[in-house]
Amino acid sequence: MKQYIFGLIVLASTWFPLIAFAAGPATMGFSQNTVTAVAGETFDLTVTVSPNGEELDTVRAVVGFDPEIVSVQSVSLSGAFNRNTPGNFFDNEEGKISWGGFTLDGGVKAAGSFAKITFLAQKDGVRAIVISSESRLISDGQEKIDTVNLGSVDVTVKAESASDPGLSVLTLNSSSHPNDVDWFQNRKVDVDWTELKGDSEIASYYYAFDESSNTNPKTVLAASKKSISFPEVKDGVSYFHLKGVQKNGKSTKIIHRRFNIDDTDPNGFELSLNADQLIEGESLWLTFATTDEMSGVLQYQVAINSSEFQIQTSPLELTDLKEGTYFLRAAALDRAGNTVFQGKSVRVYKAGSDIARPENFSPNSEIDAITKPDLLPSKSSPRSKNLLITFVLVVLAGFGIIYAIKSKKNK
Amino acid sequence: MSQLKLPVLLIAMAVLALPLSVGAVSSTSYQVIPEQGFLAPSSNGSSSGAGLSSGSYRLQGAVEPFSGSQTSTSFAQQGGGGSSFYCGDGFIDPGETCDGAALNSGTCASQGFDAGTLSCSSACIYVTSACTNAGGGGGGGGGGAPAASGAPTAPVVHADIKTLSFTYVPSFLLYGSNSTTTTAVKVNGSSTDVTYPDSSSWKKTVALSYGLNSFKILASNATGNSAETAYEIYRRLVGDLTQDNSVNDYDLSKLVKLWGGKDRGGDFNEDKIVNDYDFSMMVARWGVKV
Repeated sequence: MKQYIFGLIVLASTWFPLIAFAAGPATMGFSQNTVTAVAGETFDLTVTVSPNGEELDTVRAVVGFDPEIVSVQSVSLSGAFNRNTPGNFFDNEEGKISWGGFTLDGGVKAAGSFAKITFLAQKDGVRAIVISSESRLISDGQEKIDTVNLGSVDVTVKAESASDPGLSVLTLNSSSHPNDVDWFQNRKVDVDWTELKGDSEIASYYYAFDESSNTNPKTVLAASKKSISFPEVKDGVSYFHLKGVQKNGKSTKIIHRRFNIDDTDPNGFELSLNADQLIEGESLWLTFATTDEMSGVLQYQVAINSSEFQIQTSPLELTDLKEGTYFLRAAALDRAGNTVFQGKSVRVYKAGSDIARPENFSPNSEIDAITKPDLLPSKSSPRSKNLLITFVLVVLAGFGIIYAIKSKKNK
Repeated sequence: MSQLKLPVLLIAMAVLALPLSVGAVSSTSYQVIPEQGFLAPSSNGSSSGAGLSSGSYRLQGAVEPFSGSQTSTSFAQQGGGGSSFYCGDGFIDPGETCDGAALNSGTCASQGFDAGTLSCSSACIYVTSACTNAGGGGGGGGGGAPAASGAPTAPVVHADIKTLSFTYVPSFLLYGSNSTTTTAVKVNGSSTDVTYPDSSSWKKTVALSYGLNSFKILASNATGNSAETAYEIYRRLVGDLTQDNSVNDYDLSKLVKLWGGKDRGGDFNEDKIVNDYDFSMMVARWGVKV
């Protein structure tokens, strides 16, 4: 009996660390466990989310990868979480992606895809792409992620094999979208191609136009066809894929061309002022920010009265406004040039004017909170408290075990 | 077996207390990464800027913690418009109580009425003709009528603000009713800037600091007797819905739940609806910790 109890104690102790850091049952993974790619080619990975009984509204995937083996080309939301959170980025030097999404269409209960990541295979090697425990699966402000069961993918990148000199070489161009890096508002895609002939003529072409970076095209085109157009392509990253099949039966290498299209304005934003009435000599602070679902916000521009717009960042301080009324305009531009505007007025009075402010009023208290983060008495972090509690419990259990062992020996 | 009672008790205590530590992943568990834009773009921007001044597009994050100062002269703007301030221009200038739709936080309640719509006259003073009292009579509501020689009834904070519990604004209109025998109302020991819309109501605009703001409102009568009421309101950081003094994914999750509604918790710009404009204010403070 004593041995059973002792065993139970040890078992309970070993489970402490695992239980203490699991916040819920929801899991995050990838749609596949392994990927094999050839250096120089792209491949897509889909991050999936399984709520497992929870109703999720906000998700962040933090993914780690070896930037020597693969690099990120693009990340986009692909499922029910269709709005980008702030703070999204990928870093091909550190090998890290942090991408969040949320939904305004009600909590998500069903498992599904969250985001599509397009990688470029850089050089041969075998590495894992892993979802970090920094990831988040949130429901109404509460963490629901099971950090013990996060997904990973084993990626094998093979060296590029020497191409057959007898194959034709295809080259793609686009008059509507001159390069595959910039974002464009134009939703009509024109693509044409040229051929460097191999030892056998092209009998027919095969193409595809979709959102996958590495599709094997199946739709046939006559060999005489050298261009094609796609009207009304939807916002996002699309790919044109082309290959030729020679009369000798050999297929050319498939070529892929990326098109970045964003014809949608950034989300509306609020231009906040620290005060709408100021005294000469006081600073006016402008705060502004927004998000953009497709190409992302590239920059903000600000104008005063009838001045030209200038690129600025938030928060923006204006220090020398003289007496008068000022109309301030801010614009948010995404990478395709789509723009939204917002405007506010402020009045500046002569020094010494009484503008009936309450006692101890500071027009900069909001800005101080942003720029000088020491306005509130510091609260000890809940995580610190939790870690402390866990530590105490583990120590407590440890003493129990030691005491039990000693008692057993004394007998 | 008896020797095992102590360790078993210790373990049992530990296991029972375990729920305290479960859910250790809290909103402050993760480092918030400020918006850095896309870190690997080679885009110089393209296409039209819809009539904006061109200028080379440079990559910037949506939010930078501190961007330094600019002088207005760098904008080559027109003058500020001189000093042609006048009643009716929409700004509450010195000497004006209100101006057009700008009511300086005033409501019928702050003017001592129970309901109705406060407006502003062409002379930039409040118009209370559309304000009403539940009892049908004119003037303010509120306090009782104790004997002048005794202690006055404690001043009452109006119900509209009594239950607010929190706000996002730095300047707050505190108001309520008092007994008609009250001769003075002090807020935190000071009667400065306390005004009396009528004989049974008082108001004062107060500055709020972040965190809990406590006020003691004291009414005194002609005999020098007084009675006191306490009022507390918490000033929150805009965007901090979880009240952990930071703005991050967990606050966004809370905002999502309030989207489209009127909940004050998510209505940072106080336009009576939680929408993209409130989200924008959260984005502007993303990653901020106080």
